[in-house]
Amino acid sequence: MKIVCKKLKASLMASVLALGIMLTGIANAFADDMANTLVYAGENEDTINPILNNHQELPTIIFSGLFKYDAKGNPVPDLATAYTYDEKNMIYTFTIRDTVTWHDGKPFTLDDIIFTYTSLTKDDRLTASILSNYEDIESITSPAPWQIAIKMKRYNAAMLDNFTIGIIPKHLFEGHDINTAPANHTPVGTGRYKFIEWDTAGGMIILERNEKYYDKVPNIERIVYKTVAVESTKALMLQSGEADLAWLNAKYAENFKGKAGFKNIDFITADYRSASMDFRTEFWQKNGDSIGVLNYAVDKQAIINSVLNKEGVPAYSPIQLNAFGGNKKADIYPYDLAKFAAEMEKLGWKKDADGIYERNGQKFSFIIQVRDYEEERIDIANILARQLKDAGVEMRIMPVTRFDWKAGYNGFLAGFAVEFDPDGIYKDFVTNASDNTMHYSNPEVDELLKKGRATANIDKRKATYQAFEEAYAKRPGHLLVAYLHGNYVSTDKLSGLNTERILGHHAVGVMWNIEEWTLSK
Amino acid sequence: MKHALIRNKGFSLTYTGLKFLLQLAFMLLILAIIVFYVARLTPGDPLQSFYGDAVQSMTQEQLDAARDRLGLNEPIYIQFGKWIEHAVQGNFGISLRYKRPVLDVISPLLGNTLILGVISYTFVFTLAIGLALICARYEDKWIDRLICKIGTIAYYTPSFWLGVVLVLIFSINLQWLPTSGAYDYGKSKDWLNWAKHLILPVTIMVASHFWYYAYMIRNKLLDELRKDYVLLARAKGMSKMSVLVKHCLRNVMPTVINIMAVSVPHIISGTYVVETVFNFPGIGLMAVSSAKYHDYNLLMLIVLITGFLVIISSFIAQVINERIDPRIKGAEIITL
Amino acid sequence: MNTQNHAPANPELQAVRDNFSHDNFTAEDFRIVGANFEEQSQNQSNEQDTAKKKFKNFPFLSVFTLCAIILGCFFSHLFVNHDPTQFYLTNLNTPPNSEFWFGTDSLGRDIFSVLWNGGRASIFIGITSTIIATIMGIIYGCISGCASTFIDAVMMRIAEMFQSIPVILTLLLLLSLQEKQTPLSISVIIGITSWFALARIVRAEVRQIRNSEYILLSRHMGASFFWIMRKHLIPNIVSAIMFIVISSISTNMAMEATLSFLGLGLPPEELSLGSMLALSNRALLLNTWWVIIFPGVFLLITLFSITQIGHIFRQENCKGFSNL
Repeated sequence: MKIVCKKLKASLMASVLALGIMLTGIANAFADDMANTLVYAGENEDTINPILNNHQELPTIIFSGLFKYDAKGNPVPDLATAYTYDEKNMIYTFTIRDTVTWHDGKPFTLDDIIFTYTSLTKDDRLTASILSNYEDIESITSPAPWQIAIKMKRYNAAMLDNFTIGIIPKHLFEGHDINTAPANHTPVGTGRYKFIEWDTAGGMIILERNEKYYDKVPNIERIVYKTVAVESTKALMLQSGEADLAWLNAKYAENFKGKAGFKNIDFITADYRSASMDFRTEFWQKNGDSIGVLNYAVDKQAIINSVLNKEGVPAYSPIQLNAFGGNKKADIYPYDLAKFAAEMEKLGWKKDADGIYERNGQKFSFIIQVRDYEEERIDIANILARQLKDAGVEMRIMPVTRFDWKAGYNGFLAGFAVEFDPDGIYKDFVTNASDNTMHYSNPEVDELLKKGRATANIDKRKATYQAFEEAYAKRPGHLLVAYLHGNYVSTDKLSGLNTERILGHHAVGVMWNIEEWTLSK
Repeated sequence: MKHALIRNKGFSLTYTGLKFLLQLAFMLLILAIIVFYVARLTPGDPLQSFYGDAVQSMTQEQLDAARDRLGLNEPIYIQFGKWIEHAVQGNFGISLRYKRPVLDVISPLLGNTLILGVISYTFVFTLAIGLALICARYEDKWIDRLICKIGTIAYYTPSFWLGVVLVLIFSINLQWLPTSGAYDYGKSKDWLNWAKHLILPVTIMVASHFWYYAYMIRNKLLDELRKDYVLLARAKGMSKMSVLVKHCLRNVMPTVINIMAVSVPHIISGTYVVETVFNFPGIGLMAVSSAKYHDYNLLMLIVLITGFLVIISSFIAQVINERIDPRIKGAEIITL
Repeated sequence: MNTQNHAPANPELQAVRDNFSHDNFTAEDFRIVGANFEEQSQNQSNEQDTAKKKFKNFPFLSVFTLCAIILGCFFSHLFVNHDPTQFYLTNLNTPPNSEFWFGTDSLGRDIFSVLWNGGRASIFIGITSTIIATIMGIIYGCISGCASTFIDAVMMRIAEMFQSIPVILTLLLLLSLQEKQTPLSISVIIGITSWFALARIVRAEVRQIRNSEYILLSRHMGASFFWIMRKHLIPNIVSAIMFIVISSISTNMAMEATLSFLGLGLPPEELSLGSMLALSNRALLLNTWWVIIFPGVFLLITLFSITQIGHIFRQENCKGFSNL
């Protein structure tokens, strides 16, 4: 026993000693080298490529395009310094900067631009959700040194937006399938930050500022982008000082309000949540007339107050926060259960013994799929389902990690954002358009959106899109719930974030003015 | 005579080695077949993993072409044949999600998981044997009962829940330890930084595993204490603890080693949960997400690596036991 | 009984005893020495004492707690004061008070009501999966135990192989086969991944008794395998597996919680203790300790009680007395 006692004592002493050393180590762990390094807690990344990952933060700062968006979300020249548009022949002609180099030192040439746009229009191995934006391009040529000419098949009012796509290096992608090219994991761009290392074992991606950037070189020297799978971990990391900036859901962000050492930066986003109904399923083919009426039964403000912690606004139109949208006349469904019951009766629905509406022998019961790792979506779906159930409609929830488009669900809890040109919704709502996953079809909507795309005059365009909002509200394909605010939280040592920009889906776009940010740790 | 014995021993080792290799190949093959088929029976389209939501905008021809490129159009057994053919050459295919060779995705993570696993493993068994000795020494006394109660509670406490509670205390309130990850930026070679990140995960691993083994070893020791040599040793004047350590523990060692071998899959299971709690980049975290994302090739490799680890460890246990006591050949130990 | 065991192993002691037996000593002249003599002498007292001891060791508290929990879960509608499926959106994150006894979570669900309701699903999963595993384990073990050496070896290698795959990995694969989980589907999947050890124990027991006269007799009289299994094998192995069966209820309940945490458990509208615990991550950041503590403690108490009850059946292990 004595021996064991001694051993125990010895090991106890050793562990206490070890703990002591560790704790002193912790104190000076952050001291050096991190002074001008921004640690950003972001989502998991699989590839970094502006064509494949156009909804993410990193491609926008590593790569740059012919155009970029300014604070208002309008496209302004970037790699191009100027452009002209020949209306008669439908040709855009760009003058390109001649002093740009890729991050790996190779000179940037017109071939890279031609390669990128050729891939977008002609590479049949390439699959990406944005390809339909480039369908109207007929050809791309270089008429003179440092000049690029893009000839269109037809006028597209949103084309300048589409020219913001990042240019990818021909020398690394040529001969590869762009979806699987190795350069997707060691990206080389022309943007403000250059990629240094993808440290999988440490769960981080390391970027350093591009000292040879052709425009303003960023103040912050280095960005450590930590890939975090779980939402709550991001908030924990901020709280313990392991991260400097993160996008949090409203509830977590609320927790940092007024806390010493932290700053809440609240953006407006064009990101809305809705239950999007799938018209390929028999249920909605028969009952598509009864989607709009559901709005009466949903207390959207209550959902915003609870799930979103008041960080959002009730949604009535898919382009409500767009510069061209926001027509109050489209807001035709107040929360009113009596009205709901009356309208349902008009549509021929009757409550059965279980208190669920029934029509022609069919229950008002459908299933929507919801992404399981987004807490807010699950919460919204949960409460939505409960409110509908209380009103007599059964909406069941199917959590999935990736949306499954073939399983025959009646819809999904959608998140969409049209933060830039309103034409962004064309592909989602026009009959048989490329991103119209739910096969929504409404001739009036088709006509208005086509007109909006082809109209150059801003006032006329605005009128067209407002008319669209009204037309859509009468026969919607989504049960719109709420627009979310983009709640970022940072340490108080970070400054320069500009909330003028309306952010996109998942509050992406926060780094739009990253070159202005400063860090004083 | 002596000569013959030695040669015989050598033969036995090569024989065990050969048998082991065959067993290894066979088990990995069976595992591969099962996982391959099960993975392809799961609902959900692998193209969805590859192209994300963009798959929706693809035409039928594009979809077919993509399936062809990824080899998803052929019958499963042909797909499997091809997979085996490539796997033997060290090519395990590309990850549908990360779009790069699965070996590249896994290899940086493997080290992390091994570090977490091996450290936890060592602590689990050090603690288990220590506590088993104390419990056996004070059988049915208050200290034994107390350890039994605490151990049972620790064993049944869901490890993720305990993890959350410890993060609340040590990372959020006291700010002593980091909440997640394996190391901080630029500290990949700083062992102190590693240690800091490992304290909580290892604590959770130990807390949720030690009692299971401690209790098994304790009961083995108690059985051993009922043997007669113990009485003799005590009569000779040996102290209780040294009888336990020098005789009883030694006698139950082969069983303990077997338990240690069988425990490998348990410990690996444990790392899955702990890695998820602490966002620790390892193959467990990766396995959970690749199952959710239907990333077949990645999942296959993870299963094979795991199977390999398990079989290797049981082989090592067998060899050690045969060295300790040549009478033991394939002695059976049943664990839950 | 103990001394008898020792006698042949200690010839010297026996010799000493023989020597003394010739002299006229009375019992008072002797002081009993040796290890654990107090306990050994106690053991010699009558059987009433052991019955008493058993009675004293019977885990009344655990049985009572468990009964209360089970009854509470299955009759929760009689006493909970809120609808467990309702979101009380005006009472988010309320600390425990007179209306919400255990407080509410971030969506305004009443923890107290949900706890009892969720306990039902957890207990159902724990018991159902154990029944499935037990049936599979017993059948597999009996077949293997009665079969020829070769088939036995093959069957045991198969069981070993499955056992050597980390259970979470198997669960991951099997759960992804089905799109939506129900308490029953989860029970089945947990059940079919947890019978291997049981099968091996059953098989070991069966091998010991399979050549007993009464079984041979049955066989010769033409009894079918299942008849023998039912009439002879199972009654004999029940005591050996009882502890494991009961404690695996706890293990399976804990497993359900873990699956929920990994996002592989029940869908969000179906509540279990596991899915409540899985919310603890979130509660951590909102400083709502009651969301973390109540379900956790509730689950722990349940699991602990079950295990304590299981220990009744463990008594026959470690027969005899320690020589230490």
